[in-house]
Amino acid sequence: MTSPAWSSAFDAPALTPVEALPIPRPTRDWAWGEATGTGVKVAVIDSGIDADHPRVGGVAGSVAFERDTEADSGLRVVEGPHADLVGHGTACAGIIRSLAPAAEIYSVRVLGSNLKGRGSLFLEGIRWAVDQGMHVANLSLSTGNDQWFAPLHDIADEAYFKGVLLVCAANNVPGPTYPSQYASVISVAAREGSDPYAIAYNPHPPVEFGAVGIDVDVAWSGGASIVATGNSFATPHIAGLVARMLSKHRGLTPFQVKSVLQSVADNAR
Amino acid sequence: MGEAVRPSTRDRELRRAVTGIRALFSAAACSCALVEPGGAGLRFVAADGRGAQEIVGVPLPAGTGIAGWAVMSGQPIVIADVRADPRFAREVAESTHYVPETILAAPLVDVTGEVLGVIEVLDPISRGEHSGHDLDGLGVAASLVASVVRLSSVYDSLGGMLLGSLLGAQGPDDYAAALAQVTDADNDSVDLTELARTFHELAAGGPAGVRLAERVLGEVARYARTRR
Repeated sequence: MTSPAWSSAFDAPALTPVEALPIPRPTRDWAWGEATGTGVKVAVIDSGIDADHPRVGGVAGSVAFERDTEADSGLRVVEGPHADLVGHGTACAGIIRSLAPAAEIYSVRVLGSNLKGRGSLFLEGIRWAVDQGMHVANLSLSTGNDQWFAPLHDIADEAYFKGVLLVCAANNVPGPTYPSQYASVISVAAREGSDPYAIAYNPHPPVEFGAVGIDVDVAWSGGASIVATGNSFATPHIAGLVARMLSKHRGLTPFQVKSVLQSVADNAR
Repeated sequence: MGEAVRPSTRDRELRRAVTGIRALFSAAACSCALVEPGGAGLRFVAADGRGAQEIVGVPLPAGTGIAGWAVMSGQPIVIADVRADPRFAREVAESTHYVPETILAAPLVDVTGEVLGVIEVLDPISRGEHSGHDLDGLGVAASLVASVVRLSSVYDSLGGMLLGSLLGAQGPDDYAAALAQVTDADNDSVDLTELARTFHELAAGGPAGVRLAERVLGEVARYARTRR
């Protein structure tokens, strides 16, 4: 099977072996074995989450950011339960739940009723995750608009310094996209396979990690399940594993988390 | 006026594009929807294959459906078993009279990063064997279609400016002068053409070059005002 553009780095024949540091290497068992994600807050910044979906098993909280032309800020914040407008956020939440069953999942809905001003909604969604003390934020979305390069870069750096892991889907459309392009985030592309723990490291960034994301069985709106493909489905696999890692090893920094992920990658030797 | 002078109409080009993309994927249908002015939703402007006649002109509320998600997120996506989502199946059936099993959707992202719309491919025949490859190919095709849409928009803007300039002319002499100005026929316009060419070269170097040029030009303009 031929993979999407960024995923080609993770095709088995092209997967570059990466050098392991000459120090005791963490194993997957050390990284997340027996962990459940207890006490770890994960924000899914997306289209909303169907909290009643059996594969989601409830959410710890919900907030929606919507465009409001009458507000000074140009948007409004709506706290409280909401629906998933599409099903994608539910898919991400279901994947995270399958890997980190005890994680506290929060729905941060930024995809809404207007197709303009996406960048400001993304920015506010990430800012909410940072301000509310989320440990992990799953972002299966991006913008290529240079107008948002600096603001998103700033909030990505702030998240990094505060220890918030931003796990971002790479984008296969031509040109750079943000925030997946930044070194301060974990950028993810889809790779083949069915093992949700099988991750790979790409030594030639900007995309750093590959995870299952091609023909994946996922939860969807209306209590349904579907089969889907995209980097956006690989991303929550990494987010879920990071949540488990953080529940087992409190206080790991984003730098350390990336190092552990690299060490337990399929192509690390 | 832009529409009058551009080489082909936008919708005709988009129709050619969706026909070609549908053939490329051996798909049941392919359609293109563009973001409505103001961003309140999408509207299908071109389609080929099953349900094509029904779907052209149909509005799609923002932020709903797989097409809406692709536009909002800026991410290409493949969804199989879409009939498993009863809400989606009902909405699509009502508008197109054709409910696919599989949908590929890729956003139309132009060179500035703005999302202009979405391309959808329904039931590609290769489904199940090359979904990753399909997604990659559609992403590239979508970027080319975005260029067509952007170019069309630029033509319209230029046409509007041209029309405005000519409408403002008073009498035959003024009209001729205005026409000469917009066709770069006088000496001043030749200078402006050179300036425009220089800025085009700067713009080709990327956003940093454009910003630098804007700042330099701004400083020069401020200096010129002080010398008047």
